[in-house]
Amino acid sequence: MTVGSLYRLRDIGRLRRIASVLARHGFVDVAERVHVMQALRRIGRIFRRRSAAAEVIPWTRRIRLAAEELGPTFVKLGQMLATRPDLVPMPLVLELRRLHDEVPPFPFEDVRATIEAELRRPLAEVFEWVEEDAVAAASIAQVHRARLKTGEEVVIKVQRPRLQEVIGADLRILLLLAQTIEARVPEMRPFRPVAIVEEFRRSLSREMDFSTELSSMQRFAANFADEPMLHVPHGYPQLSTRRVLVMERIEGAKITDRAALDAMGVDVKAVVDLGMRFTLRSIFEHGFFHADPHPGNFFIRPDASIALLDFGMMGSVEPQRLDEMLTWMVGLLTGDLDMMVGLLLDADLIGDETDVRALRGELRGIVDRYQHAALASIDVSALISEVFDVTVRHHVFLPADLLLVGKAMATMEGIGREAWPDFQPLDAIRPYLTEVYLKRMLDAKKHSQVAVRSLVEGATLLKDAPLDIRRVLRKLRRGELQIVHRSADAPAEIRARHARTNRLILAALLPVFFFGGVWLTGSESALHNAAGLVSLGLAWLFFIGLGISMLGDGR
Amino acid sequence: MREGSLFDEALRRGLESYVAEMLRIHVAEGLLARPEIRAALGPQHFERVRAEVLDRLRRSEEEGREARPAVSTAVSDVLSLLSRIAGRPGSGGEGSP
Ligand SMILES: Nc1ncnc2c1ncn2[C@@H]1O[C@H](COP(=O)(O)OP(=O)(O)OP(=O)(O)O)[C@@H](O)[C@H]1O
Repeated sequence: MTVGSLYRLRDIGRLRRIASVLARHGFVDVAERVHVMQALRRIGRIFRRRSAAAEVIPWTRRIRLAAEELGPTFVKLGQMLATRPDLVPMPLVLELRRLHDEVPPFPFEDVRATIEAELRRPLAEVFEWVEEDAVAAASIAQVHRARLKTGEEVVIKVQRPRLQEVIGADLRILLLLAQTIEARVPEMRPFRPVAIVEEFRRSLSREMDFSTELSSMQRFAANFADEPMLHVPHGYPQLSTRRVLVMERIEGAKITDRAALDAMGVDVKAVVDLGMRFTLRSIFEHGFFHADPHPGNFFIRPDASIALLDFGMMGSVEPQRLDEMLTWMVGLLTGDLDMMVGLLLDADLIGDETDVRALRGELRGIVDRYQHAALASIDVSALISEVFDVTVRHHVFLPADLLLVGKAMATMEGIGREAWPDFQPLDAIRPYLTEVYLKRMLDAKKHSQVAVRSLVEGATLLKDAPLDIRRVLRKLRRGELQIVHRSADAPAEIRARHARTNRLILAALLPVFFFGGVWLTGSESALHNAAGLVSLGLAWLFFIGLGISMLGDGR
Repeated sequence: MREGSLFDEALRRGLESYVAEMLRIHVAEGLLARPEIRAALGPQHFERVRAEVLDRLRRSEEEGREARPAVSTAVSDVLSLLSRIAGRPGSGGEGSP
């Protein structure tokens, strides 16, 4: 299968352009390694000479410049990779964070055509007026001020024309490049280029669908309904489609526009603290957060409330992961290494090749250093990237949601410091996280819900247990007999006193035997899952049962 | 086993009551006694959170107290179900052809 034959004919022009940009930025060798160049040479002899610039400009910078030159797909890809210090070396991460997403606006004719095609009505039927000059133009969309016929002041976010086509072609090319790289450059395989492109494709298509953005906006607003100081623009579902988004216009100043904030008489420090608190709440209480909180998306209104914009890129975290994250962060913030390393082990994030003692040692170094530093001098982003760096080096598997959280927090810190140079993020982070951690750990409702769920699932599964499981259970019953036998040797009064506990300790041993049994019989994964659930249910049973008898004894 | 009984509101509240009591007696004090936790919160904030958390646990505990028997029933239901399944004759025990 040759590379050339796989590209669609209409993608070839674009491929040539990509190749020539790469070559101009000095990446001929890379391209040659993946044999794209032979194919391209045949197509069009584009690599006559290497750019002289390539010799002096660092490779990281050349990658960034090439991405900017190549347009939206590559800019977005670069921005995504900038959030993956587990995949991309730190110098490149830092460089990619500087990617500019500023492009000249597209003409108003296209704006009008898109809106009319999407809403299937003439512009003048819906809007009193639409400002012809865009307020902002980025690679995916641009924003225009407008007023509805009904009098409301709004903005319209309009997607770039032909964006789907351009990005579609780029994505096909990227995927093919990734496949070729994976096949021909073995040292790149651990970075799973194909999986990255697939993940990127998914996140980009979410970002290109404004109806997703609208529903994120609504969900975020509902989560913060109790917070009068955080405002999320009201969206207009009847006037919004995949490519057009109409929402309430926010009047205010950017959080980093010090002069404007001073003119409004706003207390910048209070606003920055507020911003940090919202960010933390959205992550650690709702598990649904703004993954792209740059200063342009934080508007401060005259009453000192914060309006958040741009819900195109959201992060979400499962409750289980939230607990893990909280535990880990509290471990970090309180300098408890056992808590940190233990969690990584429990959550199965540590690979076989990890030297746990060395990892512990390095974490100790970080914790010590910053525990003794003055609060003010602690740079949370640096701390986060240092921790990422250590974990990556020790082959700790970092899930993508966790990386997004790291990014969101680091960005919020950056905004805070930019707006208020004396901002001390840990002042806000440490007590907040400790409080949430305590509340979650000591939340009886949450724990009992988990118990009921696993109990019900466990019981249901057991009822229809396949033969294999029943066989394991039969083995287990022999274990049960043995335990009862042993306890019969104990003095009578203890036996009486612990009669109930014994039965429950049996319940505790059940999952142990059970799991062990299933593993031993070497069943396939469906069974493992079932066993996991049952075992969880039983473990919970034990937890509760043992508790009952312990409380009974104590009284 | 009584079908559907596991979903009982009573079971949920009874369980919550047990869990709350256990958390209060066996977990809360340990967690709250850790000096790093106290330091991270600062004395006033610590006292507020501590009071809030313990209060919530006590409330869950009391509100579900009369529902506790539902839990013991469910526990024995599941245990008897287990031993029935494990003991079911001809269900493919070890060594059977
Ligand atoms: N509701 C609004 N009210 C006022 N201005 C807005 C509103 N929404 C967007 N804007 C303006 O448009 C700019 C870009 O909006 P938005 O961030 O949603 O678009 P984007 O294409 O995702 O841009 P980027 O990717 O650069 O964040 C904002 O920084 C802001 O200046």
